[in-house]
Amino acid sequence: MSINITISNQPIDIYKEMTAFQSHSGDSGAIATFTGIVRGEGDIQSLTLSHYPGFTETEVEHIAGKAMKKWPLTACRINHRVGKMVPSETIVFVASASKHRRAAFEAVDFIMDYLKSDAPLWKQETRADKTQWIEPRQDDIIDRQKWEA
Amino acid sequence: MAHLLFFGRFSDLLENKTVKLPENVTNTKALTDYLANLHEGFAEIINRPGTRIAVNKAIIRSNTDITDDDEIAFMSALSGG
Repeated sequence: MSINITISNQPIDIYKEMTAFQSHSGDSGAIATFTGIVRGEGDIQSLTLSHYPGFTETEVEHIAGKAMKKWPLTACRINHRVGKMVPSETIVFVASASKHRRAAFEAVDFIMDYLKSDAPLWKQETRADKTQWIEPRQDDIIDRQKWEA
Repeated sequence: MAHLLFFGRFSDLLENKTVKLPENVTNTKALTDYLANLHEGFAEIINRPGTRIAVNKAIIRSNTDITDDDEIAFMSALSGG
């Protein structure tokens, strides 16, 4: 079992990520991935993510650890970008590997729900006329709480 | 010297700083009140949903003793992904 976490301001190459993850996922029969991309809705110019160095990594690893306990995963990878991003850039890559697909799918969903509202990351959206903090919506909270039921 | 860190909305109000805590600031509640008195808008943010405080990189759930050796982080609602 392996957990691999990166929090970085470097662009995420999802093809390299996928290749590297597959090579480390042993004899798993299933890999599920999620790629989050900065949406270019309306006049959005950029997203800027900030983090708490040393703490964010620990907390994100803790989220991955919870997924590893909940499902029989063989590997888990989270690469979350911080810093300034423009529309169409990748903001997050999550991958999980398991013997069967269901666990891999669910684990990626679980991790994303926790990253949305439980990882020490702060998101600021810049539009043509303003910059504002983006915080979890009620739906994000409900999505995370469904795993706690 | 205590390290005070401010993330999210808090960073709009305050920059990270290293300070000697006032004598009467011996716990996170006292520090929160102290900062709220000094900075307009701080109390509004601290009372928003999802706000958290960490002491030495551990989220606290209740008032916690602090000293000048500690790192205290004020964090508005978390939002990754």
